[in-house]
Amino acid sequence: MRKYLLLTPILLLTACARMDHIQVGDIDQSQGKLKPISVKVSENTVNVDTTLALTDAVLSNGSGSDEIEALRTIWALMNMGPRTGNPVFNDAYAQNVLNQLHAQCQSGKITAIRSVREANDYAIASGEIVRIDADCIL
Amino acid sequence: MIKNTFSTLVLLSAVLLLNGCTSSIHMVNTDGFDQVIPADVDYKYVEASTKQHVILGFAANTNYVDEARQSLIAQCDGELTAVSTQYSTNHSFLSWYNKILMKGVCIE
Repeated sequence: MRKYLLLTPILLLTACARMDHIQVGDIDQSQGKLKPISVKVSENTVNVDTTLALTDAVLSNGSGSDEIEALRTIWALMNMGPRTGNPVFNDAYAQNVLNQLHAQCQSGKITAIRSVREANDYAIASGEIVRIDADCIL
Repeated sequence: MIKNTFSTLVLLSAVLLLNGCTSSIHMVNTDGFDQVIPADVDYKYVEASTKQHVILGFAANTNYVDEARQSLIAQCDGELTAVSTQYSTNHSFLSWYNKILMKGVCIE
């Protein structure tokens, strides 16, 4: 019981912002007024390996279960490759950022584009975010 | 005996269910919005996608980014502007696919 009481605040209080990548483009302030625009898309996901490890710790009282260890190994082998943040189950969530950015600026002239790859991290779960901030030249 | 059979079934199901179901987006970059598109001019969105298969770290196709660029250019006879590039990876069994998705606005 004491273990669960300790675990709950840890899970609740571990929401962290994580920055993976940022890139800034040209900044042109000479052609007119600037209006800030932004596009943000995100995908919620679960860190399966951490979840399995946590399940293992809770269910087997810290002694370790062969089945869950085998599942973790299978998971690692079946989903091999480079990763930025936690892997997601849908890779199409950022496909329309260009269209959405273009739709927010009628003149079509956009400057100071900041491309940000970041995440909200909640220990076993996370929201993987792609955000484009920019200024529309009016 | 029953426990062993159950464990085998769970592991087999996991093998089938967990194979290559995740992916990771590393970067999305957008640039080149410096062209005003006149109201009476036609424009369209064009996109190109290529991928590279990597098996245990050995890459098969190292020209996939150039191929995406060439494919994007080939789809537009006019001016290609506002090009965005997405670099991601699809995970799989002992291998993975690196993917490039390029999109742009073609002013004709």
